[in-house]
Amino acid sequence: MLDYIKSSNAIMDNVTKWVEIPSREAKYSEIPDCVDPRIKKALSERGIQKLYSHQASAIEEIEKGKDVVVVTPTASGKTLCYNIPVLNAILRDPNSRAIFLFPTKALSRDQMTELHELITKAEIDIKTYTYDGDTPQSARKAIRQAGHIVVTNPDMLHSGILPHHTKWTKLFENLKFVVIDEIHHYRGVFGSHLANVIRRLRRICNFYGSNPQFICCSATIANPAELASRVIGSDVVLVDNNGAPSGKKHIILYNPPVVNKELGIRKSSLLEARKIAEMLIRNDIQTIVFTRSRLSVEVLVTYLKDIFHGKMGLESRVRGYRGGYLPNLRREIEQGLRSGEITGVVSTNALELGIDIGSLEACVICGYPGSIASTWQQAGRAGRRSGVSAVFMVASSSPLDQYIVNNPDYFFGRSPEYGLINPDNLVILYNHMKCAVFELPFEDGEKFGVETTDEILAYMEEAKLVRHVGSRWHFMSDVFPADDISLRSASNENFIIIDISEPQHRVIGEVDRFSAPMLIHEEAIYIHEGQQYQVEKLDFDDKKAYVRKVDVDYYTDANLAVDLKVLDVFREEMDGRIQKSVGEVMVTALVTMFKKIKLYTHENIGSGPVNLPEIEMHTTSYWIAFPEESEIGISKNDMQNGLLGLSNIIANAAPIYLMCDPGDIKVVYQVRSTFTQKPSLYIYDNYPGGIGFSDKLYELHRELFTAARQMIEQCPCEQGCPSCVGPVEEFSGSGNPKKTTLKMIDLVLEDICTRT
Amino acid sequence: MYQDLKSKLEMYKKSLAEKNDSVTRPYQPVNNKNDIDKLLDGFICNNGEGSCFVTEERYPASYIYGGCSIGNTEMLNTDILKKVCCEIHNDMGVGDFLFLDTETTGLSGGTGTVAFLIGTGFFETGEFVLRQFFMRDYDEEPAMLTALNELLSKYKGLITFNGKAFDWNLLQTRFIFNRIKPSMSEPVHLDLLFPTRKIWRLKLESCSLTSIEENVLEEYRTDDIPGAMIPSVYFKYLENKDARDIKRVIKHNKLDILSMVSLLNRICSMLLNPLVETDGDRELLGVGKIFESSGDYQNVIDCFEACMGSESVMVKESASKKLSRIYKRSKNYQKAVEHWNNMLKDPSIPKIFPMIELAKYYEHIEKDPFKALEIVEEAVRISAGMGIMNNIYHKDLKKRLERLRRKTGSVKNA
Repeated sequence: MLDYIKSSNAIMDNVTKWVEIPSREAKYSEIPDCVDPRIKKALSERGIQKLYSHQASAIEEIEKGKDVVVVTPTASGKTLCYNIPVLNAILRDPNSRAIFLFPTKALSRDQMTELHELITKAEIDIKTYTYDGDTPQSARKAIRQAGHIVVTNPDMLHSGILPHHTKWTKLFENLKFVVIDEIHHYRGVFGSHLANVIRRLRRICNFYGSNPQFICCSATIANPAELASRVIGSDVVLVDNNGAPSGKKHIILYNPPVVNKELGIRKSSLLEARKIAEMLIRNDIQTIVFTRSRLSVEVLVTYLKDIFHGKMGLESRVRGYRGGYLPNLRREIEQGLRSGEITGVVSTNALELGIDIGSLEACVICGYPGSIASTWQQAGRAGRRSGVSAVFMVASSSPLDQYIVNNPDYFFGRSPEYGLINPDNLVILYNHMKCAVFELPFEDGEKFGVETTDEILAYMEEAKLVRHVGSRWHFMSDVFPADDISLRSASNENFIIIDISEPQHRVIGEVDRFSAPMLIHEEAIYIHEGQQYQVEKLDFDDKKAYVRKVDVDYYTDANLAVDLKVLDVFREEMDGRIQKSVGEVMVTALVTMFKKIKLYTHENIGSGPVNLPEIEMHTTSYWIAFPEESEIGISKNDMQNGLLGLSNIIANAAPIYLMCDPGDIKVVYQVRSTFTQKPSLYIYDNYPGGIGFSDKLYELHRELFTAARQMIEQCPCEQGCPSCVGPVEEFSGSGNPKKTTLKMIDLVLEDICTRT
Repeated sequence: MYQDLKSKLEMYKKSLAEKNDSVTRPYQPVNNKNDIDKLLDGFICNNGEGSCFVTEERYPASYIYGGCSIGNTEMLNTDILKKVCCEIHNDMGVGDFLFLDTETTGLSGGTGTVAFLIGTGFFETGEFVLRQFFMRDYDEEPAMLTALNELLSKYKGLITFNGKAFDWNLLQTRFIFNRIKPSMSEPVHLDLLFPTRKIWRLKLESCSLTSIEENVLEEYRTDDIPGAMIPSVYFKYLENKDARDIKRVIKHNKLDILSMVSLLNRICSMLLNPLVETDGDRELLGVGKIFESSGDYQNVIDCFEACMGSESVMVKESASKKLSRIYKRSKNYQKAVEHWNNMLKDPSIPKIFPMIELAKYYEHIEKDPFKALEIVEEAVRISAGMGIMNNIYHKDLKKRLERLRRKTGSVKNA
């Protein structure tokens, strides 16, 4: 099959890189002596006589009492890295308890099955329970009393366990281990929240006299040990001597052909992915296709089912899999994949995490999943341990996708992505301190992660939330603070979007407070899963937008006036003729009007006013001040175009180094900044208080601009397109926006250029 | 350029969602006149953990509350108490129980909710003693719990209203929190909420203690403090130590306890003499249900048979269903069939249930599948005309119909 593909020009013309990753031999180590004979016996029944090197190292480090983070690719048996030491400890002392944290319910269930199997084979009496929102009320009491291992998720720990710790005395008095799987998943806001949940957990353990050890697992990222130690608040030992074998793997980077060179438009990645998947499935090669949205899952499944059209019963060989499917349907599909009854499955990233679906032969990734770590996890679904497998990465026309397919070194080299969190984000920290003081009063002088704990408590006292008596701070309110905090968003200030098309209203989405005026002002067209909705009413005070389904040939674009004021400078530095700084800013956004823009032709077909208050946000920012136009000899208009091009490209280049979503950072420019008095570009975290993105970008300043330059240079368009500096129509004057932007980048990288 | 943390927090206030303006208000000078020990008759209790405020009132047995003297409650015999709460042992009387009710800083539960006032009541040498423990600030909690614990050690059980889910649950949390071992670990717990719901659910919109107080005990409170306001009253007290509103909370708590004493007596007298003491068929039906759960079938039959004359279709239907089941279980088929037939005769009662029961009877007891088939066929006809509301019976009927057809077919063939 692969030979056929190699000989097919229709395909090979679009392949930008074909890499063969040779198979890897397993590296084994003896099972460490400390492992209980009953566990050894269970392992040998599963055919395991020896462990992979990383498993053995992990067990040894844990045995020494260290907190560890194990970095392993998909399917390398990482579960044993924590299952063995935890079971071992419980066998040694049957009072021992452990908490396992998984980011999703599906994953916890899957890991439970594996754990159960090991326990049953070892013929030991260790009770493990899942405790999440689905756990029946009647079972909860038994779990609190008797469960040795409680499998749960961060949200449940935050709102269902910690605030009720007195019901869990057995667990907290004897807590020996906290396992955090897929820790690379906890980055940005979610990770910053989790770090605070762990701070709360540690306080409670301290109250009950326990001091658990942490075992974390991570996919390959640039800073696994740093991320893990930020999350758990203590140093970790890094275990990354992967000893798992893997079969030969072909990784094929595929870039759909350009259909309009001027505008830089490429063929749809969805249609190209369909073509490849169809070819594979027709040849009875078990294939998984990853798409980026639930909608494209459905579209692609419909297309692929056509392969078996008219053949009775065979249509069920192609299935979709995504969030929103009922659990038993998901189980059925997972089972079908393992047994081979299903040849093709189209999935969102729901199957990216370690759910056991056996090993498939091929994987088609439709659109870059947003991070290298995710890409490798998805790719890992094909060819888990032996045999040849193939992975096709089909790029979309977004700048990031284009960068990936054109820079294979980035893809195949050492992971450049940093998982960043900011546990001290004031908004997040403050909210968790409320929960913490609810759970246990603070003692004078006690620190909750930050030196300024007392000051924050004093502020809470003024807000009449706590009361200082004797040497302690007590919670003084009748609310249940954990209820108001979602671990998935920075503030509890999201607007919810309610579809009122049907008599039965339903919530279809959420928009953060800062974006609300732009996206869901009245009359705005809001697009959700491909369906257009018009906003009928925006209740700004209650944070609700009521929308109704419509079918119109335009979209709306709000005129957003963003103003940015620097409040504090943390660090600054001259780099050639450029000054770069990082600090705290206040961003104000005011939407005054919106335009209706016709689809395809982009004609302006109307407008309307927006009367909404100005929105303010305090956050961290990294900014760059350029020399005046006259100093570098470009026109005012070119300066403006260059800054605009830069803000477009930098927003797209940032995710190369940060594991973040496109909306997580924003870029604005000022032709003459009120603060620097110079043409300036501001890059800021789109979360109140900041998450650490801009901080990191400040450090990665040159790398960031180098990547931006590559993105522009590799784009085949002539003057600019949405895949690089932005659509030409956005720019004014007669210059070539691409060239102007490159000139600005050269300025930033100047002394490197002169040196080399 | 530097900003201190406080002004930063101020700026973030929007995101922090703190609604109240945080104006720094200096503590008001303590107004001695309104100190708790000036306003209320009580004493400061000192123990190893510190001190707390205790107030106590003694009521003679003849004191009338809720329409009868509270001394009657002490006299209730064990047999009746056991019907209300099956956990009660043979040798226990009301004197072995402590009445308990708390006032708290919130209703959400969790470790951040504190019981700042614990009201208790018990009978002692012919009097009813109402003793309340109050913490004047958070640091008095250990002392207050210790004082309560001392009292608890003298009793075998608790009488509460919704205490299983709330008050006792919360106090257990507080004990653990303060590392005090409760002297009563697994008390016999008579939670009045459960019998109350059984008896009055069909009659009253709400089965809260307040509602029972007004509608059953006919006691009306004046100047009562609404429960929802209690946490904020306490928080305000902590700030200015002006105990005037706390006095109202203490009174509120006292009345709750007196109501429980009276309510227990009322429930027990209904059980002792159901036909006389109940007010209407709905209450009678409820009392019957209590007998049912305690397994006292003679009383169940008396209550439910008395309900047969009810004007309420719902009471009648529910009572006949229950009665016919009891008769059926005790193999008194004649009585059971009579009830099913009566249900069929009553145009206001849905027919499917008695028809299914009759079909079962004819099929299994009378061994007359033809008669049974006839009834089921009729039932299917009725059920088909009733739409999805009767779907719960539909599957059952279909299965029954098929089986009976097979059976009657084979009987014919034979």
